Amino acid sequence: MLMDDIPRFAITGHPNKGKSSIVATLAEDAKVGISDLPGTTTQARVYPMRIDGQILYELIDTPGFQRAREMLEWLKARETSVVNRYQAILEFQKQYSEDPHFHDECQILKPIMGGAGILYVVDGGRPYGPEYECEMQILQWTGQPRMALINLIGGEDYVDDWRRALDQYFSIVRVFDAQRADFSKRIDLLRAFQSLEESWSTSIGVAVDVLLENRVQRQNRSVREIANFLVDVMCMQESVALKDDKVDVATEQKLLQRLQGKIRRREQQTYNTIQQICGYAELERHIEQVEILNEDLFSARSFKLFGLSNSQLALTGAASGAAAGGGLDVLTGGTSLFMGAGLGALFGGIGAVFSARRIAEVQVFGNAMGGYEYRVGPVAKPNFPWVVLGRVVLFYKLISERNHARRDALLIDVGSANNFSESIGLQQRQAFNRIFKMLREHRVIDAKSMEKLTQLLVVLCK
Amino acid sequence: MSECKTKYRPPVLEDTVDILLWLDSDREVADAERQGRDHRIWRAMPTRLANEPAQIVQYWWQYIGRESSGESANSCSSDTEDIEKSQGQHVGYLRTLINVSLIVFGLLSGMGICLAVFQYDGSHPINVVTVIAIFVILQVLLVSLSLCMLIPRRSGFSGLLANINPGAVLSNLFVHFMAGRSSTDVSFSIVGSIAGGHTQAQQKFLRWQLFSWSQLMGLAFNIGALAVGILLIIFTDLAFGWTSTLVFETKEFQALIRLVSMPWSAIWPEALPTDALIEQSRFFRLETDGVAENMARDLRAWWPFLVACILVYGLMPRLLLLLASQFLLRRATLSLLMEHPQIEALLERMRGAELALGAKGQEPQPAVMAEADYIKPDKPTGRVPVIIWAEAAPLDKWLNYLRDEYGIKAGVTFEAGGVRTLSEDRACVASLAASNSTAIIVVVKSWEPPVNDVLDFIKSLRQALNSSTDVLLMPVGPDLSKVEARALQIWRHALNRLACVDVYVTDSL
Repeated sequence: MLMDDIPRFAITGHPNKGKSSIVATLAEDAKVGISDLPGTTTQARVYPMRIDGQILYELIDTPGFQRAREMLEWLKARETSVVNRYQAILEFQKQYSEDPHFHDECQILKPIMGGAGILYVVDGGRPYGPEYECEMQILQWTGQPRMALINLIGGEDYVDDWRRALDQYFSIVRVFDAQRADFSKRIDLLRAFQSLEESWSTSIGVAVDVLLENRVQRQNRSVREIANFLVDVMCMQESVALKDDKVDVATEQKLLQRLQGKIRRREQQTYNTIQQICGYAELERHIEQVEILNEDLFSARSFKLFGLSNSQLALTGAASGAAAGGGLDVLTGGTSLFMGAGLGALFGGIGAVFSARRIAEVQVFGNAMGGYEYRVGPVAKPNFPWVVLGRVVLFYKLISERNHARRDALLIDVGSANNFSESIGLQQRQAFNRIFKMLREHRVIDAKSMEKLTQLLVVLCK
Repeated sequence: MSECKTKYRPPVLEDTVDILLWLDSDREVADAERQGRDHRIWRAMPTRLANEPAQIVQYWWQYIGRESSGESANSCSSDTEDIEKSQGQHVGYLRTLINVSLIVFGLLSGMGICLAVFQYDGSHPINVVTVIAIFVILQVLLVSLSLCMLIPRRSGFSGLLANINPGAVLSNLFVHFMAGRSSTDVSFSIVGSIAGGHTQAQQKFLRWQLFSWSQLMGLAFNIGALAVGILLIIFTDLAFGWTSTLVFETKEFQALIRLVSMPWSAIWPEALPTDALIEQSRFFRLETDGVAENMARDLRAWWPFLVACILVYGLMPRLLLLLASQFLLRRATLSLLMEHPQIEALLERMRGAELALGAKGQEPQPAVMAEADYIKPDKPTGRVPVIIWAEAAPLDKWLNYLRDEYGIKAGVTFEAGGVRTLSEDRACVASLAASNSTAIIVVVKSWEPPVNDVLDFIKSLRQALNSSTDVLLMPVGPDLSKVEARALQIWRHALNRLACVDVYVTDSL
């Protein structure tokens, strides 16, 4: 063991049996080079798990055995008793450390002889072969704590055969599908590392706790992101200035596309953020876009002058009229009983609205002073929030349970969330609907409802 | 966390805008990097701030400012300020512009109204009822209306009031006339996003901002009115009387005056008109008796009451409400920042342990497989020696397969690799060295990668054989099943790298 007593695990085995996939999965590192071409890993590479700069454990990806049989023969030739097997390995290492002939074997031995535990990886989807025995014997001779992982790359099931062989050389044998292992399986595996060596137990235990806590934090952050996204898209509007109070089809379509673009950009932003939070910033995704139709939208026309709405204009005009009329009241010593102010307000308000139509046409520096505004949105279709919610929740689930060993793109088709609302309980559905209704009607969410929405999403995202 | 004293200043709107804009652009940075950076700032932060979220954010913002300006991150010196105006400062500038406009407008309208109300040409005294109507009743009404704006939800009556708020009207006018300038467009979009925001914090901020603007203009109006009123009292000769169609009895008017004066009558008795003054200053009486010189002097005695009316019903409520609204606006600004999802995420990143998984530095690029030219070997003739490598297939089964599938008869057979020793392999090679057959078939497992162990054997076999004998490497699937194309490619690629002539990788003959 090394002086610092950091648990280290050398991932070893035959080439192309998924060692790097296991490292990518456990180290949550999608950049780890994975290829079906043998010899992808040529150097041992260390993947530490650091908490606040302190290393809790290290995974060491190593090349696969290339000349295990030859190496074992060399070792056997120097073995005089079981006692000096370890010494024989040290001698081998010393003799061949610079020799390219045993380069890969030396790369494997280096961390192991430095105190690392052994995680020996085999493919349970392919038949057991006698050539593996040499590798297992060499690892046995090192005397280091060791565990065998049966990875499942090949399509068949030879797990039982492998188990029978591995049980003879390894104290712990586990099936671990590196490509499909979800978070709980990864945690289970880490917990199994604890039993390899007693002195590693504390460090690994802390690492497991931190990972679990980190998982909850990621979930909370993703849920908040989803909640804000939902609120935003449900309140989105787009508006355009009109020459008169008529809206043509082309303008309507243009506005619809702008709103659609806005919703899509917000959706993409949410997906990006969730990917970032879950550690898949670079992941390629193919997500079909949701289409919004004209009839799905609220729309309204309104008149504005200097950016002021009709009501603002009327009341501003009324105030000015009232001030002028009030002057008259003052001049008459109040004997007019504020009739001046009242009538002034009335005429001022009406005048402001009607004369505004003409003022609006005046151009200042090329800009009209006012005119009509056509506004579309928010989306009125009751199913709309359910579709966006369904898609984003599905996306989150796929991402959060995804594995860093996978290199394929993430796919979500447009129909994947069609029946989402039916898949959740009645009470939850009603609670969601209440919030959706509030957003549709008021375009505002209060803190209590936001909290409720977050709680509902936490349950949904679990 | 280290100890380093920083002076706390609650975030103002300018900070809020700048912080949120910065965090928005920060979304592009990898999450792990943000986590690392923010948690490092947390660790550098004085421990006493740990339970003060607003101070944590302020410390973080100062740290970020120092880092981006190249100052030592550990330095505890004063706040950094960009020479160029930030977007937050643009927003602040816009708000100052609105504030100043409202003050000017309020002062002018207050002065104008006061001049109109206090107009006196010596023929008719100023009607106290008008003064009360404008500086008491109207003021109370306007203050009550502005309080209605505080009713939550942007709909209905409060929504309408918020809509016609002088500050809101001015904002709209500024946006309309200043839009299109690059320096202000971002500020407007920020203000727009706050105004059109869907969260309670945004709504609360907007409500208090509009309320505060109302009070600011109201205060300016009353200051203007009071200033002009006092100036008129000092520099001109004013006389006051009263008349109203609604109030017939002097006693009723006396009761009204006492009611209006109630707030100050105990501390400023001079500002409570006497019953005699009220009785004497009624218009019809003045018209009957005429305004005698000595009576005119008495009629001036109304002024303390009128000043008190402006002070108590106009200026003071507006001042108190302005102070309260400023306090609540500051709180709302703080909520606007602290309840923002980006800030919640920031605090979580700061507090959460910095979890770093994965190796440092560039990952080695996986090898790329070059397309290997496939040359189909000639079909071997005669008896062909067969070597089964590492128990790739049961010997009998393979020989039958060779005969049935390709009509090839096997010659001498060997088992090599796997559990066999290297000397057994060498013996196999030695016995085949003298072979004069057209080819030797080596059967390997297609699902296993071509490791150096088998490649060494092929190489030594090739070297031992004469050049007229081909080496046919035949990968087979488990139980002689069909070989995957990819596996065949991998084996061909490996053999290509071996650069041995007359060694073929094939799955059929």
